[in-house]
Amino acid sequence: MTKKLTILFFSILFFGVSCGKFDEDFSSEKDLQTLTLKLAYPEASPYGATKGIEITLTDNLGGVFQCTTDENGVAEFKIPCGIYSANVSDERGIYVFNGKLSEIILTSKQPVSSEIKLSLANINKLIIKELYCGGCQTDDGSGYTRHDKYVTLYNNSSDTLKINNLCLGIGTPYNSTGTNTNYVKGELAYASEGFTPAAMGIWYYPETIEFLPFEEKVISIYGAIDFTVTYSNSVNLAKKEYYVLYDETCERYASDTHFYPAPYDGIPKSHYFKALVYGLGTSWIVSVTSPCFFIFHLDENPATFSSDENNHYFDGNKSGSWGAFGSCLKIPNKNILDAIEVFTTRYDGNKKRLSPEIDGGYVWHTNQYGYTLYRNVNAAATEKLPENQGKIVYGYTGGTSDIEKGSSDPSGIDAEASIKNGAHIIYCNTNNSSNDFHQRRIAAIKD
Amino acid sequence: MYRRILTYIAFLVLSINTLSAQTYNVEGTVRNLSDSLPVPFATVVLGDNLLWAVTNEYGYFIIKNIPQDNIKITIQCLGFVKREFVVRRNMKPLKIYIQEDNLAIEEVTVTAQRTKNEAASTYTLDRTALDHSQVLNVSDVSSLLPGGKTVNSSLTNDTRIQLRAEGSTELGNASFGTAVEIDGARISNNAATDETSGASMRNVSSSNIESVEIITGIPSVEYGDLSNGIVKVNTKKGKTPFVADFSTNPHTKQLAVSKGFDLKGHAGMLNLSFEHAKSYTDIVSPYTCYKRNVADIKYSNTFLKNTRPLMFSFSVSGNTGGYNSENDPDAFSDEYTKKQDRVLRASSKITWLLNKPWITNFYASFSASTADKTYENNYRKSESASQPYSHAREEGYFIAEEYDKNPEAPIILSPVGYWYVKNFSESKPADFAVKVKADKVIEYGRIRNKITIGGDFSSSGNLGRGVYYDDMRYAPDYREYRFDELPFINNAAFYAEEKFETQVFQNIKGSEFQAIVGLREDLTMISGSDYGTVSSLSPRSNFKFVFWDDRYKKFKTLSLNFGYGKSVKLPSFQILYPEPQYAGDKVFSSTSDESGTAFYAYYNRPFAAERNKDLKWQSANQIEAGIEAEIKGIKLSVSVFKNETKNPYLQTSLYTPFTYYRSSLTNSNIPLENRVFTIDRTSGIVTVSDKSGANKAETLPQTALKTYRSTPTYVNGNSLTRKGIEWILEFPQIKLLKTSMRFDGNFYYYKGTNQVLTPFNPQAVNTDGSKFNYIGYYVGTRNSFSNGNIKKTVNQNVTFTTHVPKIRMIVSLKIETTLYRYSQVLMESGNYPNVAFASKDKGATTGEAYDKSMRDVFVTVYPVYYSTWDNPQKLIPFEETYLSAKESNPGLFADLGKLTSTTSYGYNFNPEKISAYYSANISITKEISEIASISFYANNFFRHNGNVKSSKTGLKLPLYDSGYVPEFYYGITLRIKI
Repeated sequence: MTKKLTILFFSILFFGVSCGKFDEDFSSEKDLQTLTLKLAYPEASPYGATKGIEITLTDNLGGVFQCTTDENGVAEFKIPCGIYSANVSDERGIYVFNGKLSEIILTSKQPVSSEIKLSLANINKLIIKELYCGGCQTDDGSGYTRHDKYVTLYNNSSDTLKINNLCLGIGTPYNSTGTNTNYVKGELAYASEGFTPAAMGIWYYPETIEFLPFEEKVISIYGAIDFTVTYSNSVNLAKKEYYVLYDETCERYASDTHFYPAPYDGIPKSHYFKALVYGLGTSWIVSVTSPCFFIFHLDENPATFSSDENNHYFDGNKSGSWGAFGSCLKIPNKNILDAIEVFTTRYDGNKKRLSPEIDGGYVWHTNQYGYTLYRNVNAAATEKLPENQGKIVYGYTGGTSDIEKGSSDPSGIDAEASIKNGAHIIYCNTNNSSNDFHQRRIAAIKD
Repeated sequence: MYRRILTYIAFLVLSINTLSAQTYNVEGTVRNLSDSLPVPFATVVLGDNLLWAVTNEYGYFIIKNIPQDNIKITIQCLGFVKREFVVRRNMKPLKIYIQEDNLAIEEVTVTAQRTKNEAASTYTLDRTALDHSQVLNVSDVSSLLPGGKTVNSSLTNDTRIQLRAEGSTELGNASFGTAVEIDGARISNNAATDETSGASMRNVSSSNIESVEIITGIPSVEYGDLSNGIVKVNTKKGKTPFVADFSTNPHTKQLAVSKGFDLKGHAGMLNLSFEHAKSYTDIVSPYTCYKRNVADIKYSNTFLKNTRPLMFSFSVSGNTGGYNSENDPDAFSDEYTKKQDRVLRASSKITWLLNKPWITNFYASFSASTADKTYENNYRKSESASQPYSHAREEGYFIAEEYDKNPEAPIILSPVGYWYVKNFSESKPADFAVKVKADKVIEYGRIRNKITIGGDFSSSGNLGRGVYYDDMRYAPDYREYRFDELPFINNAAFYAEEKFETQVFQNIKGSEFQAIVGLREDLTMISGSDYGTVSSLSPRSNFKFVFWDDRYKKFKTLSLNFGYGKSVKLPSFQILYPEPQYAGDKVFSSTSDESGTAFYAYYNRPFAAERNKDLKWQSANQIEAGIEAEIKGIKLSVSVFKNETKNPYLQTSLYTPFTYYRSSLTNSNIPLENRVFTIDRTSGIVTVSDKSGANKAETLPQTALKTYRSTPTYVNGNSLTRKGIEWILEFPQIKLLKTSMRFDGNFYYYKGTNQVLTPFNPQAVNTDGSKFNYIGYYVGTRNSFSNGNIKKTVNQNVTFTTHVPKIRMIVSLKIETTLYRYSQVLMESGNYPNVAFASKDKGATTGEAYDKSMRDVFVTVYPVYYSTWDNPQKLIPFEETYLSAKESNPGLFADLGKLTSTTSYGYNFNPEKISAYYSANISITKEISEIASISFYANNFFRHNGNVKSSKTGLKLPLYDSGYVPEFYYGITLRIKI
């Protein structure tokens, strides 16, 4: 008790002394100077200046001052002269804008106005919920079909997300067992370079895309058609709410009607992604066995980004002519929202294509049988949501643990059943496909 | 033309003189050494003066009016060892005994032998050598030539023989230029529409071959339509026992039976043979295979044996079989690929010894062959959305229609669901040839002239229908192109050849000078085409100087030879008649309904095939020199050659710019189910109508698109060179060990670059997103950064042959080494400005002019010119525009940069020296008495698969699966003679 009282005494004493000093030093207006800081958002950002963003100033003695912005993104400090550094963080939607300004010298001579340039931080709420890419058995037993591919993107938060230049990319090589010339002494050459190569081309959404809280969007990769008409084991991607990778102005891809059949009429054209092609091939290759798939956003128009030679990379860190085989775009890792690394169970020699920063693991996949790669549920976070009370369905049996290298969701939560029951699911997002994904027996949209 | 023919005749008339000398006759009987029974149908040939005879049923022969004394006589008969000796005037009737050919005799050869007395390099393989090496495919015999490398024989690999050339990466169509004849009948592949390569030989029975003669040097003018030598296959002819061969190796089973019947009396000989062989692609799944079932019938007889013998033969050979990718019967699918390999060949030949003052022999032959090489493919298809299948052959905009509503629609919509697609590519090449020839030998003193005059006519065509489908409902993009509507290639040739021989030194035995000079004129006539009639002249000559032959005990023989000649290779159908092309660009697609049905429209435009009327026939200029010697029983032969291929056939493309219009449906007031799409065939305007009539028709907006269509055409490439040295060094048998040793090898040099200005439109887009509208004109090709390569190889083989006649066994161990293997890719611009720039910086867009001595540099290759869509005729110098655009016009710089090509690695242009490597291969043949023999071989039996070092990358490369050495392989044959 004596000890506690002693601490309390000295704390009060310290606080009093501090306040006394403050009052003493800045009691006079003439000792204070005005510092105006304005937040500058990235040009391509869907977000701009807003009221209430807190900026923190720190002086070289450790003194801390805080002020919030007005609707123009401007904060005005009246503080003693000195040398300051400013920090700001603005979290909106999936975006976290960070800004820092150092060496702000404030003298008594005149007020100072400065701009803090904000950049995006790599905290992502938009995730790949599911990637269905392995095809399924045909009805006549003749083999399997492989074009019925889709990816489901999901807002893994209660925030509304608005994203400009949302892009889909694939890694290289297309198959995890392909010859990977990017390894140097056992390490991916680009792992330490802060980028991930996107092979062949990218697909991008030409407008700002919005994801409501816990909303998902299904994107058909090779045709928004009802594959179940011919293949009963397959999926129906002809639904008006779905999105589709289809760009009739991209002659190279659009001319291949096997990969890119005319989309279902019910899907509005506003749901069409556009293609930016810089490599060879008449279709964008999402491996049927083992894709490396990622989603990212760009701060500028994809065509502008692509035209910058500094963003060009040739598979295997080789030299090459832009547009030739092996042409890749360097996607800054900070722009990558989510990724999945898939290894095939069919062949040996799988190698990772994503650096640990983006994805530290992989998920095993057996293709041809309609299996899909589905996100695991973050049970703790999901159960914590108050609106989920009584809506979560347990006893998940949709995994494939019973087959070799199969997997299931360790949370035991049946995400799809829970969603149907009105629950909001928060999925695992550890940047590690080994933890985040499992192989589900049936595509989720067939449930 | 006629002047030339008259010139030939005059040349011959002047050559012929009527000097005659006193003649004599030679007669005798030929008997089997083992049982003294007469040998009928043995051929008796006198030296080189073209007189000959064939023994009758009593083994008797007579050759009359022999002008020359001390002349070599050769007795040959199937199954017997050839015998040679000298005959003189006034000899009594000869009693000649010949020995049966088997391993009990002392002289057995199992390697390719340099044919003696031939001025041009010629190698012979006899039946014993073929049996010992268990050749399955005649094309593999080149592995037995000096420096040749053993191959693991399988019929699933349809390898084609090519002489004095290595590999398919070389320019100049070496296999296409290598001629093959069976019993004098040419096996042509000129009528193939899908390839320009030598004739497939896997449909030829390897067990029915008596010998193979390979002329790598300058052939006689008698042989035309070639540029890389000739392979002459002689099938069995004469009386033989019943022979059954059973062969097996991991991929192939072979069963062959043959017998030569003596029909007794004057009825002649009948040879029958049948062979069945089957090679599997995968020994684990023995379904996909190539089969051959060859039957050969040959009738031969000699009439007027005692007066003016006329040798007649007629043969028919047929093969059924082919490739069949038959599925595992336990599997579901009925998918398969079949490639028929049906062949029917007939040929007949007469050789008539007239022995008149104006003619010695008259020869005539005809051959005809037809083949069915139809490719049949049956595959399972399923669609979950209807697909447009274009069958349009006319220009215009067409919309896809349902097949049931309009089966003749230019574009049909595929069904949705499951079905099989069966298509055929029917190719039926047919060839016909007739040949006549006459010769005359004139001797005066020590000079002997042999004059040959002849002509031939050949015709090649294709009677196939081309590609077709059994049900057009399921035919994907397809336009009919019938091979049987293509004109035949007819070729008439006339030739004359003078062979002059004289003894040089009167006192030196065997000293002789031999000169063979000939001229051949080919007239190729292709009626109904742009090519018209093409004339080509081929002068050829061979000289041989024999210093002495069989004179000294130690230095027995010494001779030199030299040859120069030109030969011409006729083009193939693929070269003459490239297939027309069609532009089929998608101009509109509706959205799909719930069943997946959509409406697609295309712009179709036919592009006639570019038949290059200026095409010259590929030819080869060959020079060869050689030396042959025998010292202390060591036989040496060395040949040095240089082959320059002129005007090699080369495929290139032509680009035609054109505009088409694409329509787009953005919004429509007409409900999906009521929409009816129509397209104006000329303008391409798409109209959407409401079939209910509730809404007005809508016209869709158009966007103009500029693009190109490429059409293949054939041009003549620039000359390329092959040089080399071939040697054989044979040591006599070490009696104690019963072992002989032979060194054979070759040095081979090849350099070929393609310096033809070649247009190319890369698959790229402009910086503004539109279709790439530049054409680059490259020196050679843009598909790779090099336009040729240089190669140098030194191969050295050592063969140890142990032959123990007493136990009738022969064992040969062949160690094959490659001591030097060098290659380097080249980028040579020839008459054009330099287009290759080297830099140590891998991202550089330019650099200093590349020189092949540079190492570890990234090489960027530019086109010489470029053109734009708007003005395709104007060729703009590339380098100057490109570099100046860097600062002044970044957009153009970026676009033109897509026409450049840069090596991926710094080592791409480094020279590649592969360190020496070897393989050891063993063959054993053991005869078990007279009736059976067993042959066994094991290739690379040490399983030598270590590493070799590559100088290009500095890395070690495994020999396994490298193609440098054969993989471990083995096979066995049991042969029974009754």
